[in-house]
Amino acid sequence: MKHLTLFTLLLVGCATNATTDKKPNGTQALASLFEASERILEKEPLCNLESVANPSVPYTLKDQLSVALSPSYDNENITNIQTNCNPSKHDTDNNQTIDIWDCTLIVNETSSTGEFISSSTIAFGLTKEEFKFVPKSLRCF
Amino acid sequence: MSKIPTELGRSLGKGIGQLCPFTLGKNNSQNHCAHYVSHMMGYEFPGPTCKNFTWADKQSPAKGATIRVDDIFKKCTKVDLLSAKPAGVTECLIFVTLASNIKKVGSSYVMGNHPRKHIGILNQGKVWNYSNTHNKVVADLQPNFVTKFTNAYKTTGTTVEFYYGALI
Repeated sequence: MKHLTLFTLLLVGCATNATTDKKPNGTQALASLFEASERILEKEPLCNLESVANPSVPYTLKDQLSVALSPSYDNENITNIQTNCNPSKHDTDNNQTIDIWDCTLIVNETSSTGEFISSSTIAFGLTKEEFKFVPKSLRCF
Repeated sequence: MSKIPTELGRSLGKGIGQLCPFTLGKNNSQNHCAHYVSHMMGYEFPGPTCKNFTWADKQSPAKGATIRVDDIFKKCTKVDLLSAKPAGVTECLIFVTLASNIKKVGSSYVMGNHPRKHIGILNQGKVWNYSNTHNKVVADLQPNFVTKFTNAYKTTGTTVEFYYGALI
């Protein structure tokens, strides 16, 4: 009986912890991404991109966001934006593994008949509690 | 000797989830053209891959695959306009993007990050590539591939360009 009570308390404790992991809402996730828009992409090993059409030195997340969102401009095609965040982890430079929210922004361009034209993905990590952008967590393709 | 893997033929009609063991392979809303080519050819270059895209996937022992067209483009030792491809080259990579997304630096071409870009593998007159519309591997006759992507990418004031690259 004592063991059963202990197990139940443990189970309730775990369930309570899981539910207190408050997920960022869409406004919070995108605000944190835009706050990091001056981030220089040379510092992001998985998002180290450059534009050929509009070279900007240094190339920043703002530049990449502009490219990713540009298919929506003056275009008869349909641009769809999806965002979401899921719990994940991130390896920091000082060999620590931290809990994060792993968020994704996907921009899809399709023709009026539904044919896939293009897509861009920007994935980024946010700190678990304050939803702040995690350096070196950007992934772009 | 051919560099085309025997798995290429068996990939026809498959969805990326049947070719990639990672989380990215389960997401049909992404562009999987470079992802497919990299799984077929064994390309895992520096930069984003299907394996390093999530922390959980990074823990897997399975090999990842490059997911960006421009990362493959810059690894090709020989790249030129498709119209300049010698007739004797029957196996190569085929790239398509907007002319404004390519610049020439010296004698080399550099591809930028504009989202309108695609890649396939030319083998025996057909371009094996991933159809993101139908979420499966297709093999288009080369002229049909050129027509399909010219129509898909062209807008007023833009030029669609095709390049070939030697298999890596």
